[in-house]
Amino acid sequence: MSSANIVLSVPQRPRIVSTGAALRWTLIAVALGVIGLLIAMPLASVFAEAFRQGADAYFGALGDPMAIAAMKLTLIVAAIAVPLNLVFGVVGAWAIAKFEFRGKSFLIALIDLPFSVSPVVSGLVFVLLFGMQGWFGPFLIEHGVQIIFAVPGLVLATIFVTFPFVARELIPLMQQQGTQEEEAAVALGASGWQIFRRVTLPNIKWALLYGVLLCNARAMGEFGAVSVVSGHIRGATNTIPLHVEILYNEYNFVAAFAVASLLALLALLTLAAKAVLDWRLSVSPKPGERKT
Amino acid sequence: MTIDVADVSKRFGKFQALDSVSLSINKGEMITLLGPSGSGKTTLLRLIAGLDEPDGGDILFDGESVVGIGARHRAVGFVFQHYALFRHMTVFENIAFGLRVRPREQRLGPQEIHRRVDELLELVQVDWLAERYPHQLSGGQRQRVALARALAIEPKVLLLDEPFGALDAKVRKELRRWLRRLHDRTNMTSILVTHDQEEALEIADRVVVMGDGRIEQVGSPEDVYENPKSAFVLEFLGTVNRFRNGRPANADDTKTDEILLARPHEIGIEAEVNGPSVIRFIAPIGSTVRLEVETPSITDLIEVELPRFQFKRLGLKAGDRVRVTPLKVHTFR
Repeated sequence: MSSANIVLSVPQRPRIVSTGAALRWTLIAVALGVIGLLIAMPLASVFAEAFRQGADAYFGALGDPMAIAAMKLTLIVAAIAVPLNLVFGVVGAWAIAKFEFRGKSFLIALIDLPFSVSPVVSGLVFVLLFGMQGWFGPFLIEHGVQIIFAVPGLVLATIFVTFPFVARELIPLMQQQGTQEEEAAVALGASGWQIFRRVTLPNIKWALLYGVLLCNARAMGEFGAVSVVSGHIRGATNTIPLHVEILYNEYNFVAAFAVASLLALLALLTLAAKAVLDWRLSVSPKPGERKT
Repeated sequence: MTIDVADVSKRFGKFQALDSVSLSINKGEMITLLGPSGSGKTTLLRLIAGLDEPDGGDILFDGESVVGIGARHRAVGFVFQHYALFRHMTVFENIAFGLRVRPREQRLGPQEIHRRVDELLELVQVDWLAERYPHQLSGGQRQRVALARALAIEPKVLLLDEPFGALDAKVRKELRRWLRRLHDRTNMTSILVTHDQEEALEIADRVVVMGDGRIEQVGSPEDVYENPKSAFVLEFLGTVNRFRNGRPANADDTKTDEILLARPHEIGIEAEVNGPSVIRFIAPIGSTVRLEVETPSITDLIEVELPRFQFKRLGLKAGDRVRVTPLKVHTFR
């Protein structure tokens, strides 16, 4: 709209405008080209490869018991890790944004740690702690508890890697919102729980959903940390990403891409939900903002 | 309800926000806490509300200590400077909040709550905004809603933290007169924090002037204006001119016994052919006329305020040579 206005209002200087337009279109073309080459084409190729031998082969690969076991395991791990990180994230963000205490910046750094550490290292840490030769290894063996190369290890590694998502999303928002509404609520006689449920939570709900969404996408797609603690036992400790790797290494490309297409679908769904949430976040009023 | 503040201190890190402050407030009184920012007035208000706890001293409601009783159980109405309305609730729900969060056995029925909220909406004259959200309201409307919300719990004490600070001059004047009338109709005890001296003097039964975490003076508006107990109070409640040995002096002149202070309307001015001072600027402001007078070797101007009729009689104009003398002076040791 504005570019059209510029062209109409300064007809005596078409050359400059057209140079600007040319530059603009070149940049847009380059950007689209890069996105197409690096993102859209690989994404399309996943589905193309998955359907290379037809829909039967595709659904056959997805119906394979080992694939189904991997899907189940991924869902279980996410179903444990995401709710826990939701609670940790809300509690952590609440503490950081609404209270002053010593060691606050240390806590913030700690929450960010999983982002700065390579996932492989994160996985390795759990092996060193809970593995057979690890710190707690002998104790765990004695009590018949297996963490590494079992589901608890996968859950732990996933929780660790996805820990920052919810808190990171909430902290800036909650800091910006301040504590005034909570103070108003307490002066009106609300209890701590009532304040959280009726004032704080509604104010952060869209950001919270956003954080949970990203947390879930990562929990289901995590490879590095999970790969270290899993042990790759088929049908027992293989999540979807690990299952894809195994199939690929066995030159079972159609099955590998078929299973990978599930993760790609998850990504697309996440993207769509994220777009909706972005829109919700932008329409929900911010403090001090006034629409007249 | 009477409120007694006894020897209360509060410290934030290294900053002494309140330094053994004592104050007694009568039932049904309207008090303003007046002072520059950092003087401790908001801190005192928050301590009375129970939003913060004092480091030392006692706060009593009707003779009973409320220290250690959180804001939730003090049943005070608190109005915040930036309204602090619940942004995701409608105006109606904002006002109903205090009634809805009551323990089940004290809670009113839904119809009763509805009736009460409608009453309050009418009281603060925003009944047509019930279904709006806070971000759809103007500043004045938001403040009215914040007031209605605070009044919903039928508090015996109403605490207001610079309630009109963010509003334009006209709405501000209107709202504070309305607030004063509301206060007179109920038998609440009200405390209002402000840094606006005009507001403090207009609305209050008694003004508490604060500075540096201490109470400088407590008294009726006339009293603190006419008989300030310290240079701080005098200077905070309006413009002050300094004189030394009957001649104008600089505003930052040291406070020795020889320094005399006078307000603009407490200064005599007369034309004198070879007078020591010169009129630099004349500003007719409504019923009074303000003159700025320059004296050689003194950098600060003397501000003189004259009733219009007197100004006309004197026939002064810019550039005239004059002599200024303090008529009524304040000295402090």
